[in-house]
Amino acid sequence: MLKELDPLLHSQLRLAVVSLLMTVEEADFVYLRKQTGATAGNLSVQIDKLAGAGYIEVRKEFVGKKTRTAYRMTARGREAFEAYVSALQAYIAPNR
Amino acid sequence: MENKKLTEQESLALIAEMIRQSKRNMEVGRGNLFLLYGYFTPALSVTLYLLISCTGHAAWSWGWLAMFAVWPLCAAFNRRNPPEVVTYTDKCIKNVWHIMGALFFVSFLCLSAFAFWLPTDMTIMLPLSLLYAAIGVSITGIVLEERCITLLPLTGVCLALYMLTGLFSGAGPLLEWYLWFGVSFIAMMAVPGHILNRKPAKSC
Repeated sequence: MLKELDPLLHSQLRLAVVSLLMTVEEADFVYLRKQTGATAGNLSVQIDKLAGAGYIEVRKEFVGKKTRTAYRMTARGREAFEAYVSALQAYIAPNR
Repeated sequence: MENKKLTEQESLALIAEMIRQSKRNMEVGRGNLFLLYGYFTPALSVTLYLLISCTGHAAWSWGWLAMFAVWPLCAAFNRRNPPEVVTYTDKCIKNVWHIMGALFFVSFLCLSAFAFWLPTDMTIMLPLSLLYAAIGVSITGIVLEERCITLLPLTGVCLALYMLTGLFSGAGPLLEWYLWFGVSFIAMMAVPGHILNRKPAKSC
């Protein structure tokens, strides 16, 4: 029987954010916005959902007078992503 | 990009695209620190060589301590201008250079301490610095899979061994070593710095 795809990851913007964060140690909000091409508001909402589920870790710091927010994957987020990719592969090639 | 639901194929395609995209952007400006040391060190070595040879005061050799000043300046700059993204490779290289920096510092402190009860020649910091820098650059080259950057530091290793042999045999230290030291930093750091900064421009 095919596993259910994680609904938190099975959405375009959240999956893009998680895929980007899987390939780097840490990335900030500006980088994620540039790479995904999403609006700041939408990105912020989706990141909050991922952070709320414990998939990503949020770190805020001051750079001069501005706030910089950096994100990184948590161990839980990595496991969820790996499980999601395995489930996807099972959907695409169920006999493998 | 919106927040729409995806098909399985679309999901896999999106993951692949995001990974490709992040790889394209991760290497820009990586060689800047190499360039800074690659040009600052030769400039410092020529300056100190001229100061000592013109004035005859060996005390100018303490000017080498200026090399330590670059590190906190770079750290302060990076704190004010943090990179948008930090890759695993960046983290690995940063840690390698933290170790090398600590070796420089510990060596200097130990030699300074030894000078209280042993006849210590601080010139040994020249070959030691060359060895530490050469090892750091080589490891960076290995991590980045850049053969040229891995092999270029051999020039520094050869010069360091020559200086150490000179020191132990009594044939040194020579003031000319300052100039050789500077030249080897061009080969060991300035050239790799340019290679690193040219690479992303080519691959993008």
